[in-house]
Amino acid sequence: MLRRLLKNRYLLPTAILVVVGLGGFVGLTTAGAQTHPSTATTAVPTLYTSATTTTATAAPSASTGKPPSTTAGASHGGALVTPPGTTRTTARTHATACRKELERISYTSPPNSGSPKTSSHHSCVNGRIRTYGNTNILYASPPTSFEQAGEQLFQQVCASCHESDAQGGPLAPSLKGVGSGTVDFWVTTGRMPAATPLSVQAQTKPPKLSDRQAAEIAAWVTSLTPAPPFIPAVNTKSANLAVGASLFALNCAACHTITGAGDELAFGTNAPSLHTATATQVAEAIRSGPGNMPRFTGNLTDRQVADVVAYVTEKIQHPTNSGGFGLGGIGPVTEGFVGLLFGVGGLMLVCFWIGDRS
Amino acid sequence: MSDHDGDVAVDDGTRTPVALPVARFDDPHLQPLARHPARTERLIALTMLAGIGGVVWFGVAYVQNYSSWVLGVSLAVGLLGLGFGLTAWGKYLMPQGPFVEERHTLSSTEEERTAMAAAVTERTQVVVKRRGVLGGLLAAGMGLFGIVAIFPLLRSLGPAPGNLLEETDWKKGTRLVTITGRPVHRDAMQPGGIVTVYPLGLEKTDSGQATDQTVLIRVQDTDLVTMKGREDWAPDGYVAYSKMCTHLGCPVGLYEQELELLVCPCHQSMFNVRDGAVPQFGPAPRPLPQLPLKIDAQGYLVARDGYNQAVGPGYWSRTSTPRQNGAQ
Repeated sequence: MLRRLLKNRYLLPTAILVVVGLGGFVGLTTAGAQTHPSTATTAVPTLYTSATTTTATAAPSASTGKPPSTTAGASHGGALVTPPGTTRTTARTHATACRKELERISYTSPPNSGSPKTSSHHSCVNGRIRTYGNTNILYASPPTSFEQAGEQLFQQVCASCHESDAQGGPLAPSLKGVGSGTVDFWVTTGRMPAATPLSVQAQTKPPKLSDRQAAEIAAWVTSLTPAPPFIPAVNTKSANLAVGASLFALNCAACHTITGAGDELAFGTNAPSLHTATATQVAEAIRSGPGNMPRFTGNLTDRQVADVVAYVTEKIQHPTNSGGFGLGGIGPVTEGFVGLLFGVGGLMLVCFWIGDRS
Repeated sequence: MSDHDGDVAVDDGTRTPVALPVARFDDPHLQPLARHPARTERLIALTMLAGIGGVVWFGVAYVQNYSSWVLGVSLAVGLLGLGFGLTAWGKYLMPQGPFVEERHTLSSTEEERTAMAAAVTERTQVVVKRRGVLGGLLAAGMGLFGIVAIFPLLRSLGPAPGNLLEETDWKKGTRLVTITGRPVHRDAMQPGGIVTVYPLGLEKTDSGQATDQTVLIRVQDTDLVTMKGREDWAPDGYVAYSKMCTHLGCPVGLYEQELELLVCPCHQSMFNVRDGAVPQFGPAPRPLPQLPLKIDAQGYLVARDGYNQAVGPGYWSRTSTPRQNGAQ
């Protein structure tokens, strides 16, 4: 029986088809996937609300298209909350310090586009801006209690390249003024600590530090020079997926591809797959522009960023795949491979069999 | 016509005689190929039942709106089952043959040949007349019809493009807006940002999205000069290029901010943003046209002038040098 099978004319072509097909199939579909799932982060405010003061709700946000006001007195609808129990003079000093700090860290920007001063509300503790944002995205800085642990971690893990006061050196850039959201993005995606410091692009890999440790490092780095973006908590409940889809297609799909599978770019750089990114990481990347990714600030409002984040986390990461198997979402290469090898190859085997004379 | 008593020569007076073989029931050519025809028949019956099942499943899946892949699998099972069954029936259960039919000689008889030669040489004595006038009129009519029949084809090509490929809707003073219609303020973008912009009011139209689409990039330094003669085209670090790739027209949306490179996703043409989008790699033959920018009194970005050359891929009648009456 086995000998008859081995002598069969169809054995060799079928074996080739099966081996090459399955091998290529598996190889191509796993190439597009990341090698690790990043840990799911809890929403930032629940981690830090114990340390923040109550935030004041705002005047309604200004209509789009209005030029942002640059006069110091007219901040766009936000009360600067002083901690309870302070006397009147210290309250006034607090308010002045908060206003100065708000001016210092904000960049002029249309309303609710990620700049603290033009966001619907912001809160301030001890002269430092603690949160800013609106109902779509709330940006929060990690609490100051994290700073000590963060400094220790930084000296252990980061200072070898970024130098002990984060001013950067020959191996790594300065981290002054990058914002806690930026630091949180690089560490929670595993890009930092970098595997090869002088490579053209730091690669994602399994994160070495936990989310809490990342927040601690972010707290310390941002305490040196506070700046936006803070760590965002995105509210995707009322997000408009259609708007998110069209914004994604216009802004993101060129590099990340329309299925979010990622792509190789120029000179050894690549846009990574979006299949394992969390909502926080997506928002942080949009607002901070890591590496070669452009930085989207004034022209995407927080609501639009929330729409894009919702689209990525809901549609991109859970594709419907009505064809049964998405083949990694890479596109015509895998689909052509499957169609030509299995479809046309199979048909060739069938034609061989039909025309075979015995 | 054939005689079943053994090989016999058949002659009915019309053809040259041939010897036809006689069919015998134990002729090996008449036996099916399968060694066990009954078992094979049962197997083929099962395959065909599977095929019927597949086809019925497809019907149910279609009516019940199951997923596409269920439709595909069911149709595949159905057609493959029936197809395999039919082919196997033909291969393994039908008489395997081969059957050879002897052919009569093909050449004509002598009488036929002489009659044919006479007909050809004496054609002029046949009574059918030539009618020259009618023949000429028919030829004229068919010829004219052939010409007229091309007219609908020509009109269906549409209006000649005229100046459409040379000019875009960007004019002096046109305000830049994003896809949502919001004008771009000078403080709207941080260095390293990119946004797609359109002429005010045209962001949702076909011409706006096709030929007018422009990428606006903000680079770090505020006094960028991309080329000689373009000193005031990039205020505050804002620089704008046509989004239509000069290779084959794909939208060049891929911006790498550290490399300051615009990459076209279709064929990987790479344009250096700092030097006036000169192609550094890839099949693009010429730089992306740059839109000169200005900041108006309210702080919004407007076009200083239109593009000074045609946007998008080349075609043979276009010039590659910029127009003389371009930007000031």
